[in-house]
Amino acid sequence: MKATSRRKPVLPPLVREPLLLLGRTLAATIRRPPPRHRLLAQMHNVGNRSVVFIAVTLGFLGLILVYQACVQTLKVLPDLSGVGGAFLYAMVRTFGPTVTGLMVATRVGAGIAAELGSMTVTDQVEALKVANSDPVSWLVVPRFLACVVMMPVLWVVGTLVGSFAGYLMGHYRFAIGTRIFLDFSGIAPIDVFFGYLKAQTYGIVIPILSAHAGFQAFGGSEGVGQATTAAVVRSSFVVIVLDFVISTMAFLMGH
Amino acid sequence: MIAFEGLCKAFDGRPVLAGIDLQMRGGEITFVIGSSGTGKSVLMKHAVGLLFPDAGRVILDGEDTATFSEDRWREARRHYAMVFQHPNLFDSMTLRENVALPLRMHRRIARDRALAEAESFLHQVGMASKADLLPAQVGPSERKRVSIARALTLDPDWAILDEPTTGLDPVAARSIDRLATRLCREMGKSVVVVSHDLTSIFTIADRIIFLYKGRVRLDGAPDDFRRSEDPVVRQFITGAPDGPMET
Amino acid sequence: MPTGSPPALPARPIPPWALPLALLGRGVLRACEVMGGMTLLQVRILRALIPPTFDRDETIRQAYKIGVQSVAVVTLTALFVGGLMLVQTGPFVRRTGATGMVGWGTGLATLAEVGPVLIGLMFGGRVGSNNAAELGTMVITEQVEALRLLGIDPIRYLVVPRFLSMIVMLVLLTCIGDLAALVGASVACQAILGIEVRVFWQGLIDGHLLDEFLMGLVKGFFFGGAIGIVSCHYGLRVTGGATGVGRAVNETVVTSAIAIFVVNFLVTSLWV
Repeated sequence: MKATSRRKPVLPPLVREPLLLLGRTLAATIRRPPPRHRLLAQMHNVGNRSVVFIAVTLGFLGLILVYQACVQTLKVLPDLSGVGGAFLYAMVRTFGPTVTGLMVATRVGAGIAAELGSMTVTDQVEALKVANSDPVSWLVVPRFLACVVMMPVLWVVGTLVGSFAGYLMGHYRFAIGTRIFLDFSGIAPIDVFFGYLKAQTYGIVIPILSAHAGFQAFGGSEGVGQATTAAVVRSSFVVIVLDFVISTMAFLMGH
Repeated sequence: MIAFEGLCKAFDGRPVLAGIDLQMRGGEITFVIGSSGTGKSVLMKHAVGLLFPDAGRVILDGEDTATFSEDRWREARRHYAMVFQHPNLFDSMTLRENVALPLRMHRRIARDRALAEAESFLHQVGMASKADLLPAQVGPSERKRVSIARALTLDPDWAILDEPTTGLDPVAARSIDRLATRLCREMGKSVVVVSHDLTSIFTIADRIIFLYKGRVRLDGAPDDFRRSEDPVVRQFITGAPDGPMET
Repeated sequence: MPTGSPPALPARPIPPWALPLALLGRGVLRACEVMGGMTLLQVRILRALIPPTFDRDETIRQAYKIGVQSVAVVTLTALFVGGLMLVQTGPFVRRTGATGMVGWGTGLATLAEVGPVLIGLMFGGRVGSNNAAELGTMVITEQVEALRLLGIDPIRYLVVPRFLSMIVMLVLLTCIGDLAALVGASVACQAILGIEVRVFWQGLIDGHLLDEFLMGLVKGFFFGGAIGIVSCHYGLRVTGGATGVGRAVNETVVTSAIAIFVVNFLVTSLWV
């Protein structure tokens, strides 16, 4: 793992090296799948332990989105019947997957980089190599698979919690009827698919970028801090860019 | 004056200090010695309010410190300056800036003047020529000198040096010894050195306090120490691997 | 920082039926401890501010450093956020043909909610985590103790300058980011939706969004303060070497994110 300049976030090595790592991770996954208990431990860490965090953040997001939408709509016309449908649509397509993705980048991405970073600076990664085990298959693969599996699950959880919080706000604060608010007619299966596609993409990208940042750490505790910071910033940025790319793609395809 | 009365301190239920009674009057070079882990540094950290006793009292200049607030401690630490074993310089600043910081913060003088004045303190420890390097660019004994210079900016009455020669080569260690002597004889500071460096102890100490198992085992002049019949002290001096001393 | 250690659970084994309760209790206790520690820190900061007895040189140095660290990443992110918000309105515009609404809708969402929140999240990820790592490293290399030994108050010298400069810089960065987001949106408007840029800006200006813009800046103010407190709190409590620093950074970004969403909710519901 070559150390690269930390100043500019989009240097070619910052694209090339994570892609290489992704390739090696996929190869290692096929060649030697991780033992069940290690995978389950990581899935617990990525999934279960993020649920509360994602519920809190997405919950507040849902509340405020509906609040704003209602207040702004009331300025123009006294009819709030369209708010629910539009909110649910935005939640499924964009806010659900992307804010969940950002939160996973924050909690899980930082965690991966901090763990692998401290192992790197204390020479534990080197020790693994000396002991003839491959750090990628030992350290990266379980975390990678856990994220790939759990990210869509968290997307479902986040979207449901956010939508429900929004419904509470609409129903109790602005007295929108349950039937009128929970209007799913605007959401086609393809919209759910695009939401899923985003979540799945983030689930692949976040662990790779974070692991890459972790392996780049050097020079003691300061290096671990820098690696963790880099993981959060890069993963969050890439989540937003990917959201933009996938949304644009979807729009240009006519959805 | 620093006095400890019945000082006890335990970490996670493991007693480190078990009733220390001690007075340091000052004006001389006092060595606090003992093997590793006997609580020498722990003892002196009590004198500057970085640790607080489980039982017993710490008395500075006749004042019981039990009632000190953090602000009062900050005041006290300007008279009792401590220099750690690992020279904890601020690694994002040059040596000159390191020394200038306390000047700037305490006397509220302008940055430029503080930087100029810092040079004279660096000169006192023989580091003026390297003033504009970063801590990472100089050697360990030089960092130690700078951290002593930084402590001197407070114009303290006491200088407490925690293991100043540990980890240094013999030549660098002796130059630190000479600096400690100058602090006492020329600048009139009371010096306390926490150490297990026998050469330093026998070269520059005026008074030796030997700690063993959390208590004061011996308190006297270097000659008392050298002539002591106590088997534990004998073993410490000779460095024999077998003996009554528990490590 | 003399904050107490978390209350230990009783040593005797917890019966299985009580486990959820015990976990809940532990979570609540930990949350209380964190909140208490941060409140104390806030009180100490306020005490150093009235009368102002913090280090001005250090404040300026920190502000400069924070700006250099984050301006590029915030601007870049904001560009995409603007584009993203615009693309979201695409299907709506295609269905209704209401091109005049594009500028207003995107501007409202960006200036009032999405812009400040995402800029805050990036700021927390970049500046907050860096700050926690830096303070944490200073703690474990005994540099913070050195300050106290020199009779310098770490709150006045380390915490207050960082806290203040984060507030100021995040307000400024929210301005810059808002602008970048609108630029990003107008580019996307032309390139993807095929609506003229002029129409976008006209809709934006006709929307009279000054109030929303100001609310966004107020959010930046509070987000900056929250990130400052959170990152200093976790940074100063680091124990246990490199691993501890990594953990502190992780906790900083997580807690900052929670703080951002909660504060965002409070500001909007009190403002609108």
